[in-house]
Amino acid sequence: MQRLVREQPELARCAIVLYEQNARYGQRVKTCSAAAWEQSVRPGMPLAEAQTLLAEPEKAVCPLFACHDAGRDREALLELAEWCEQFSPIVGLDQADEPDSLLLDVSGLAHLFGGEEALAQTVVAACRQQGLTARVAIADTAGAAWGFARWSESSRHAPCAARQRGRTHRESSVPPSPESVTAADGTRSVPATFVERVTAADGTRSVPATMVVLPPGDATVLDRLPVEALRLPQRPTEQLQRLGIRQIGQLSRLPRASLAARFGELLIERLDKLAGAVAEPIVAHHAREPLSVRWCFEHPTTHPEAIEHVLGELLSQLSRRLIEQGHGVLRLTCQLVCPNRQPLKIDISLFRPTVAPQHLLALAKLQLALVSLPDAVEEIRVRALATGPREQRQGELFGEAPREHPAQLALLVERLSNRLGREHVVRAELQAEPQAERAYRYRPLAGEAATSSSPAQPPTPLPGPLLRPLRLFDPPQPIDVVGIALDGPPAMFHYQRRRHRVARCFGPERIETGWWRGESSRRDYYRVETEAGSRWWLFRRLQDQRWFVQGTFE
Amino acid sequence: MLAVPEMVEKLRDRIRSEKKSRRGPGEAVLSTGWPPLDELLPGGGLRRGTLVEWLAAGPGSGAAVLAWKAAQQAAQEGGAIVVLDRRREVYPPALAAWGVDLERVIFVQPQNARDEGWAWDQALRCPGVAAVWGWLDQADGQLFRRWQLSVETSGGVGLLVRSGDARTQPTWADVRWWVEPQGAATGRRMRVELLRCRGAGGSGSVELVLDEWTGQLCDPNPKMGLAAKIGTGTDRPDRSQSHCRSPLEEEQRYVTHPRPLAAQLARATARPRATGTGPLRHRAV
Repeated sequence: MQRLVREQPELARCAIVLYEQNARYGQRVKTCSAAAWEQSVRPGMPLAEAQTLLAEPEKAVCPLFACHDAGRDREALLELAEWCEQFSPIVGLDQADEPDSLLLDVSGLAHLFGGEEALAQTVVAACRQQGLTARVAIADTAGAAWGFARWSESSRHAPCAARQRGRTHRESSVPPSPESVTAADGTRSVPATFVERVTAADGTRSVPATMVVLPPGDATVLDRLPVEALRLPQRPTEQLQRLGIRQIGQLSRLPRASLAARFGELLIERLDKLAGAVAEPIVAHHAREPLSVRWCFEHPTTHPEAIEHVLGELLSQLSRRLIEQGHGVLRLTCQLVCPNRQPLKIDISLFRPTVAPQHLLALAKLQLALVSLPDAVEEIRVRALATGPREQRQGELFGEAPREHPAQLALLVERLSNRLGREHVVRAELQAEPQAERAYRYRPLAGEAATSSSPAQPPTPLPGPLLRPLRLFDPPQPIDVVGIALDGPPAMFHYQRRRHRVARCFGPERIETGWWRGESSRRDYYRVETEAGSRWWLFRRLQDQRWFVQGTFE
Repeated sequence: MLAVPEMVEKLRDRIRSEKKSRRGPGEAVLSTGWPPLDELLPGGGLRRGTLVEWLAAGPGSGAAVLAWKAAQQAAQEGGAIVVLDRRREVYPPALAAWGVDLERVIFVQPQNARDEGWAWDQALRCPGVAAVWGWLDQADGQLFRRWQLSVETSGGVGLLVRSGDARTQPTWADVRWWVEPQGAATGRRMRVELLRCRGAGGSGSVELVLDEWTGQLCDPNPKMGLAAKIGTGTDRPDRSQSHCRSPLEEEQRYVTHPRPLAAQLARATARPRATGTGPLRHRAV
C-alpha cells in the first residue's frame, strides 16, 4: 500500500483496499488503509462486502480497489533495502514467503550515528522524508527486533492491535548483529539489533512511527512480547492463543519437549533465535551493479551514421560484460540525450536472452527509423534493465523437425515486439472463467523470463468448436431485438442499421458469475442463425432484459 | 503440319508442364482440412509458399473457421501459427477449441494499417511460421505482391480472411475462395466457391455442412434421414461419432430448460466421456 501511495501521492487520503485472489474463498480483502478502516473494512472480509461498505454515497471517500501484488511489493522492498545501505553494510529481507521487513546489522555502527537512540531516530526521520512511516527496533537478536518493531508496548497504544496487522505491507528492517551477541565473551560492546518497520503511508492518520531500543543483555523484556512476535504461521499461533498462552514469558515456563511435540520444532527454533541461543544470520541483499554504458560526444551530433556507430560500439561493450556473466539481455533501454530536451528513449525487449550486438543494433535501428531526432545528440546511454541466463545450444546431429526454426521464430517475435510494442505481440492463456470476455488472458512474449510456468491444459473442458464465436466483441454491443415471448429467443434484431431475421436459434445457454466475485454477470446466450445463414452470438442480460451481441461465428 | 486442335492440345500440354516446373516438382501439397475443398484444387490441396484468400459473403459466414482449420493443418508438421488481429477481436478460446495448442500461436495486434502491412510481411517471411491467419480489410497491390514474394521464400502459408468487397479487387493470392452461408435444416451449412486458382483457371463450388457440436463435416445430402458422417476424423476421434441430430429437437430441448452452465459443467464431469459430445449433451435424458 505504501508502494501505491508513493507512486500516486494523490491516493494518500483515499480509502485503499488491497485484495487477494483466494482459490477457496474468492476475493478477500488483504489489507486496507486507515480511511478504509474507519469505514469498518477489515482484512479477511470478502471484497464484495468491502465494496458495499465503501460505496455508500454519504461517506465522501473515493475507494480504490487493487489486487495485492506480492511481486511488486517485493521489488519495492528490495529497492528500499538498497536505499537502507546508507545505515548498514548488511541489509537483508526477512525470510518469509512474502517478506515485509528489512533487517539491518548495526553491530558496531551506533557510535557513528551518535548512539543507538540517535541511529533509530535518523532512520525514522529519513524514512519520513521518503514518505514512509517506519517502525524501528534495535535489539540483541533479529527475532527480538522483529517482534518489538511490530508488537512493542508503544505500538499497542495505537488504536488497536488488530489494526496494525491490517496495515499493508510493512517494511521493517531488522539488523541484528548476531555475531556480537553469540560471541558471548562478555565483551559485547554493541547491543546490536535494530528493526525498522514501515507501516501505513500517510503518516498523519495512521499508526505512528515507533522506535524501540532495547538495553543489551536484558532477556526479561522478551517475556512481555505476545506470541505473535515469534513469526510463527497462523495455525500454531491460534492454537497457543486458544490455550491461553499470550505472552512469550508464559511459553518459556513450559517444558520444551512437550512444546515441540505439540506445536512443532519451528516454535522451539524461533524461541531460541529470539533469545539468541541460536544464531540467525541476515542474508544480505546487494543490488546488482546496473549494467550500463555511456558515450559522450565531444560535439553534439545529428549524424545518423555516427549515432548508429556509437550505439553499436556501446552495445558490443555491454555484450562483452554480459558474456562474462553468462547472461543475455532481455530488455534494454537506450537514451539519446539532447541538450535542453527530454532524452529520446528506445526500449528493446527480446524473446530470449541475447548477447549479439548486431542483432540488438538492428532492433534499435528499427525504432530509430521511426522517430526523428529532436536535436543534436550529446550523449548516448545504454542500460540493461533485465537479463537472464543464456542458454547454451548445441547443434543437433540429425537436424530438427522440418518446419521448426526456433531461432528464426525468436527473431520474428523480437522484430515484431520492438516495432509494435511488447504488449501487442502476445500469447494467449486460457482461464477457468465462465464469462466469455474473461476466459483468456494475453501475455507479452518478449522481455519476460522464460521461467513463467504456463498451465498447459485449460482447467475446464472446452466447448465444441462451433459453440463459441471466432470473433468476440469486448465490450458487447447493445442491439435492438424483437422477440415473440418476453423471455424467449429473439425473432429479429438490428445491428449496425441492418435488420437480421432469425431463422434458427440455439439456446439459451445461461452463463453467470457468482455474486461473491464482485460485479456479477448473468446472461442467457443464444447462438442465432439469420435467414441469410450468418451466425451470431447474442445474449440477454438478465438484470435488465437488454440484448447485446457478443460475437460472430466468422 | 499438325491440325489446329492437335496443336492447341500440344500447346496446352506445354503450358501445363511449364507451370509444373515453375512450381517445383515433388512439392508436398497441404490439405485445407476439408476434403471436399481439396478435391476442387489441382493437386488435391494447397501449396506451401502461397497466399490463400477466403472471402466472406457477410458477417458470421464461417470463412474464418474454414481458414483456421487450414492453418491448423499447415502447423501439423511443426512451426508456429501467427494470428494477425488488428481489431483485437479474435477470441482465443474458440481457436483452442479446434484442438490447437495456444502455446504455438503468436497473436500480433498492430495498431495501424502501416504496421499491419509490415507485420504481415515479417510473419510471412519467417521460416519458423507455418501459417499466418488473420482478417484483412484493405491491401494495396504492391504490398500484396511483396507478401507473396515473402511467403514464397519462407514456405509458409498466408491465410487471409477478407470481406466480400474484395471480390472485385485484383489479387496476388494463388487461391481465392468465396464462402457464403446458407440457411439449413441441419448443421451449419455453407457454400464454398473456388473463384480463382492459379494454374487451373479454377471454378466449381461445393456445399459443406458442419456438425453443430463437433465441427466435423456431415453429409450435405443425408439419404436416410440420419446424416452419416464422412468427416475427416483426424482429431478428436471420440467426438466424431455422428451427432447430426435435428436442430429443431435440440432447440426445443434447450429453450425449455435454461440452466446455469456451471451446474452443467459440474455434472458433465461425472458422466462417462464417450457418450456425449459437448457439455450440453446430457440434457437429452
